[in-house]
Amino acid sequence: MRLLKARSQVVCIGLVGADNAGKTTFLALLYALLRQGQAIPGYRFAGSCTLPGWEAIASSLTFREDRTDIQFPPHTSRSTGRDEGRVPGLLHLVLRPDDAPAAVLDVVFTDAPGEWFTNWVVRHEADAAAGARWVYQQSRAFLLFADRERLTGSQRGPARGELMDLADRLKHGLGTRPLGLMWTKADLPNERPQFLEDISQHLQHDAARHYREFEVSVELSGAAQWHPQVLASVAWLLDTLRRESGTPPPVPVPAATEQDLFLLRRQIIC
Amino acid sequence: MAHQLLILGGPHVGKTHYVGQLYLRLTDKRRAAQYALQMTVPPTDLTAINHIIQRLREGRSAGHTPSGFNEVISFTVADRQGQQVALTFPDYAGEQVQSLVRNYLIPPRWQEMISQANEWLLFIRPDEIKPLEDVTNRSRSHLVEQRPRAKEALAQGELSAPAFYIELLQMLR
Ligand SMILES: Nc1nc2c(ncn2[C@@H]2O[C@H](COP(=O)(O)OP(=O)(O)O)[C@@H](O)[C@H]2O)c(=O)[nH]1
Ligand SMILES: Nc1nc2c(ncn2[C@@H]2O[C@H](COP(=O)(O)OP(=O)(O)O)[C@@H](O)[C@H]2O)c(=O)[nH]1
Ligand SMILES: [Mg+2]
Ligand SMILES: [Mg+2]
Repeated sequence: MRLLKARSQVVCIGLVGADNAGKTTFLALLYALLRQGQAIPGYRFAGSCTLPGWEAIASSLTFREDRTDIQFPPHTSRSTGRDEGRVPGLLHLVLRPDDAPAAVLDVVFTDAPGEWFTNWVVRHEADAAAGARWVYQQSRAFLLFADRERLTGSQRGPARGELMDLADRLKHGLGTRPLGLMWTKADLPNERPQFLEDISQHLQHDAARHYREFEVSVELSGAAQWHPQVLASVAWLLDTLRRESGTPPPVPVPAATEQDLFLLRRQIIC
Repeated sequence: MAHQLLILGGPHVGKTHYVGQLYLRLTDKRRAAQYALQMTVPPTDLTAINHIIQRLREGRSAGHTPSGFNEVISFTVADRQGQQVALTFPDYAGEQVQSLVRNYLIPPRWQEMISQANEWLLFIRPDEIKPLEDVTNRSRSHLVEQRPRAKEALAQGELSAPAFYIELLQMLR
């Protein structure tokens, strides 16, 4: 991290959403697309300090010779080692903007368990919300995940409540930081379009200064429609940030946690 | 002028055959006029490529030559202006390159080779890289949740080919 800070701008993107909403799958799909040579529009892939972490989450969306099925990424666990529950898993990308090829942009995505945010909404200062507070403070941009499966199922009432509480909590003190809403599992049949439309209306009402919605799914049958939105959402966050602030301030990383920041290998390999 | 050329690549990508082919061309007096470079000082130790050049002379390729001896082939070539260049090719077992990435560790001998080299030639053998099949190009026919099995892959820390080459270049940078 210290190395990253020394050489460039670090942009932390916070992934926020209930458990099972599709956050880790979103990251896995993002990496799988980059790995196949697709680009985040306007940005060129230029490396990563957390390739094993990306590979591990994407391995569940990768076919192997010895089997024909895929698996979703393993459940993001509540504990992350020494700093248990305080620092999320982080996945890193180096990007070069097409309009400034000499510039290096370090982008860090947070992958935290949904429980952190649930706790955070109930009580901001709760011990169990330390990780959520970290994500909220460090992130320069957010993606809020809306689980279309749950929001159209039998638990849609509580699911809607949770999502809206979380959105309200995020908006409080958001400032100019962009907030993207990610409708996940877009492949599943939408039996309650009106219900979802109402949620969208609510979220757009007194929305964040920079707000946009995206629809994603891993399903190949709708890949032309859904996969590009994975890349586009990241591009939109970065474009907005760069327009808004020019040079975002670096992420201040507490020294004691540096070792624990990176997913899996828990060491900085840049 | 001394030049060290480091050929990088995993096992079985044709590193040793490349040096053997280069040697045969540079020593081929009949065709010397075609080439911009000529060998002026031949290698004093041909061990690493001896078997391969014998086979290539028969018009055949040799099998894979396992090497664990970290042999070095050195010779001097001159261009048409008479400019001499001493070339050194370390020959090593390609598995070493794999373990650099696997262990995230560059042993001192490799540190030395990397920093001493004036040029790197990265060898990739496309026909041995299987196309990656994932959700970006294949439909998930059966969707099963098998978290324990995903964890297994995770613990093994296996990298796909693109990730392997990116990581290799990042480590050597
Ligand atoms: N049908 C469908 N299911 C999905 C999709 N993405 C995720 N899921 C399901 O949602 C579950 C949770 O996803 P995950 O990414 O682990 O959620 P997280 O807890 O927010 O990280 C997975 O196990 C899948 O069953 C999608 O695009 N389509
Ligand atoms: N078809 C083909 N095979 C090659 C070529 N170069 C090398 N090989 C084969 O690839 C294998 C590995 O070659 P080798 O030089 O030992 O690879 P190394 O392990 O990278 O040193 C051998 O079986 C060679 O016969 C080539 O240009 N074409
Ligand atoms: Mg997760
Ligand atoms: Mg060899």
